[in-house]
Amino acid sequence: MMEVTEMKVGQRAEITGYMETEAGYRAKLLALGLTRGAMIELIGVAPMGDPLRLKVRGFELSLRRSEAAILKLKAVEE
Amino acid sequence: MKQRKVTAALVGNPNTGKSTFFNAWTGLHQVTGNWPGVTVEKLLGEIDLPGGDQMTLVDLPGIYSLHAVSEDERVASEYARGGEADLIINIVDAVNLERNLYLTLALMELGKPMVMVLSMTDILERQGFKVEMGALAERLGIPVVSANIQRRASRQTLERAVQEALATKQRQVRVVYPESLNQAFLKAWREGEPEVRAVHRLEGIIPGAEAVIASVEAVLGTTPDVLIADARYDKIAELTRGIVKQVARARTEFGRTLDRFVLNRWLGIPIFLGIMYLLFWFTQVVGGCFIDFFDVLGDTVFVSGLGNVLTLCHAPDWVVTLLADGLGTGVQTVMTFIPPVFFIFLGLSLLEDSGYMARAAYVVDRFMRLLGLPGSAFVPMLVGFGCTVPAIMATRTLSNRRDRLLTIFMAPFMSCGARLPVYALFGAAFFGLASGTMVFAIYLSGILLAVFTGVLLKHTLFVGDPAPFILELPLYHIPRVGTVFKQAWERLRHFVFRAGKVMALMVLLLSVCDKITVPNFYAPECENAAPISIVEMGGRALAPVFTPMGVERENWQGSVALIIGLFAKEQVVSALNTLYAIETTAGTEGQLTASTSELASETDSLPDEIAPESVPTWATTRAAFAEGIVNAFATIPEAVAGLLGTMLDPLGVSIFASEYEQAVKVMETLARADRSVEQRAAGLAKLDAVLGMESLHTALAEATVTRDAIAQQVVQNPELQSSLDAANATLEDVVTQLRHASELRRFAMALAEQTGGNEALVAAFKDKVEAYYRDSMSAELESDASLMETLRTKFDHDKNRAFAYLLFVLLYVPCLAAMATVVREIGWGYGMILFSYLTILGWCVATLYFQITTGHTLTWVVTPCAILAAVAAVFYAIGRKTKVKLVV
Repeated sequence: MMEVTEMKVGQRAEITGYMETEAGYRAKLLALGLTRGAMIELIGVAPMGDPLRLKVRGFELSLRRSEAAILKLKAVEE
Repeated sequence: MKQRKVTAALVGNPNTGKSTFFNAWTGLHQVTGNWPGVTVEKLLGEIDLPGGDQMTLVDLPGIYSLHAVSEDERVASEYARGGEADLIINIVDAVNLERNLYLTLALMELGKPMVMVLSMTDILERQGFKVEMGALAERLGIPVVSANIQRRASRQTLERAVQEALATKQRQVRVVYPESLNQAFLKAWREGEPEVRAVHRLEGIIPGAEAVIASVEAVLGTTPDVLIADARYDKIAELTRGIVKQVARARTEFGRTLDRFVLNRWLGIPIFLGIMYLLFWFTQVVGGCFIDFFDVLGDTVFVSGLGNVLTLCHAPDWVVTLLADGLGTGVQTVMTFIPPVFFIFLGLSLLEDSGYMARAAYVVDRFMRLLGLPGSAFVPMLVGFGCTVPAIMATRTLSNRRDRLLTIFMAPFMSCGARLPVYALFGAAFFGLASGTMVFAIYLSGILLAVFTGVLLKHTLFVGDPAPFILELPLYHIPRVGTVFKQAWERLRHFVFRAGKVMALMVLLLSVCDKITVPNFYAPECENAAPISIVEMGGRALAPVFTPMGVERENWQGSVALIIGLFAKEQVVSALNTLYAIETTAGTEGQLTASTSELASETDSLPDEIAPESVPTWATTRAAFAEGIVNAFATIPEAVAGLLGTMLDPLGVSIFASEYEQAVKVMETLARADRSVEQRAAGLAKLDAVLGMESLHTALAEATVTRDAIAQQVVQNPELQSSLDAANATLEDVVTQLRHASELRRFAMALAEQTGGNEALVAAFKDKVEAYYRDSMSAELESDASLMETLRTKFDHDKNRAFAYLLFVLLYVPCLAAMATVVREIGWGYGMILFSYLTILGWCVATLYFQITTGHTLTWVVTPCAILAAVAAVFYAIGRKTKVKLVV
């Protein structure tokens, strides 16, 4: 298991679940397609190191490091 | 056939081209309003369906799901779930089909008739793909049509689909939820209500199933909303299989390449700053070109025009004062804000529509988080350096109410352009060469106090968690002119008719107070002094309050000017100017005259009052009206001519004329060897424009005529001698200016005649320009010398005293226009909190600064600190009380 904060740019990972969090934030991520089994790719980091730029289900999404840490991930072997 | 009235809700994800579609369908048949209890805008459109039915289309804010966090989302979710809409029109972005279908499924569960409108198909096609709309419609069981309804035929297809949906009972697509949730559904369901309510309870959209959610989490190890979302996305995968077909080879994506630069680790911030600079320049400078137009127009029509007409109709004086000077001035004030507000919205719509806005928020989010704000709050802050009014309006782009309030509370700290003349005056009088540093220190103080305010409010008044940051980075596209203008226009209209109303009333109140006079209690008893206005009276009564910050009692003008500054902060300068001038003359002639408003109008663009002895006739009124209109239009080309020069100085920090620098540049070009005859001629023409030869000649002619006319009258009426002197002085000034300009022009002519480059001539020219520049500067200073001297005396030749005063000017309640805008946007409650906070903070900071540097009175160091502590305590108490409302 790993967290978003451990990902490197260009790396892909599979979402395996959510850590305990405020329901509103989770609901939004779920609606955006960050469901279990979905793949995310870290495609960039903002100039000051935060937030992150992720690719999910064909579109780009920006999340803050600390907030996105609620995603439980599994690294994908390339 | 009976005509039916139906209501349809337009629902979709953000960035799906929803507004474009709404505008294309409803055209001009739109009305705006507000959702009850919130500041979210409500947009309605009327559509005549082919069968004769009438449909009201309600444009809802963009949402990703029915789970609402922000105010906008709650409005959209509640309306979609509620019973008001007969039909749901779901706009779906073809490029992000999967994600958009998530909302579609949630909407279909509501069981209402539905039509799906597919947008962005052109972009998808450019990427080489195509959506099989027929197959999708069949699988979903609802009509699917294209959002591109420019053509008549496709519009008819859409309208037929709407009727079809209304007529048929919708076949439901069933999402198969995991069996493990069955028990939970039953427990969350209440007898007699639709099943979908149980789903919403488990998702947490509506409360009432907290215990069930907890037990599911305990048993299955995950909350039900995750399971529900999984099931929906499984369904979506099934629905979309084979629906999106590759029809061509994908072309290289321009947006990817662009993002490589725009979001680059090193280039990201410079590009961001560059674009923000352009936005600022566009709003302040380009927009600023039209301010004088609206100002003069407003005066011509609503102030002097209306005043003249009323006088001619024999209206009583108080009616003229109330309507023309009061309400008219109010309307005029609102009008002067039309250009900056419109241009900021034009700029913002442009950035939003192109897709850059989201990227800007991404780039600066980390930095803005230091202030406790999201990245998108940067724009309002920046705009605040130009004018607070559009800055407050720009906070409308922030979706979270807490962030919005915080941003509005911090925006007035960004020192706006109107305060600059005040700094400039004091800079010239007290700081000399260090003026620049002083102005910089003021701006910096504003920013630091904004940060202080942000930290204070975060922990007291607006306590609670900041909104999490979830930002979609949409694809770039070329902004659509129609949409951008439409959006800017909508927002401008909102400003004029909502904030404008409050603004006009506030100005009316203050103007009337400025006109009503009371006996002067302050004048020495032996003299029969002229009455003073209520405003002046109030200012003098308040003077003791300002003593601790260094405005002594003898300097009551300083305190009156602060009240006049409520009209607009730059009026502090003209008020001081006039009030000090009165006192100087009063010393010699022994009487006080003139109300402050008369003075303000003398120096500023406020209405030229009708001189008491000249009674207007219809003819003069008509002539004045025509002239006013002509003058109003004349301001535009004048302003536009100076546009390019401001590119490098949008704040107007270098207040001193740059025309002579421009002249030097023209000269240098002329001196270059490779110029053709035509280019030289063009250069000369440009020089004439820079030097303003034409207007100088006109001024000369006018001044001569005026002088001669007065000279004739003086023969009969020796009392007019002083006007003659004034006219002579004006004439002399014009002649001097013209002489200098002509001299510069002669140099240019000489250069133009030479064929080769001539460095020596250019150097001589430069010397000349510098000499002229020095002369005109010192001449300007000389005319102000007496004002400067009075100012220095009044402020005890003390830089710290002056600086404390400027700190107060920076901080105390913003001008009436900004106040009205704030009230419109956040209501009287928070508005009053903001105004009181600003004024109290201004007083405390100014007093602390003055007492620490000059005053050295312990009481006045302790008191401000105690007051600030009390303010923090009050904020803390209010914050705890209203906490719940803000977080929802």
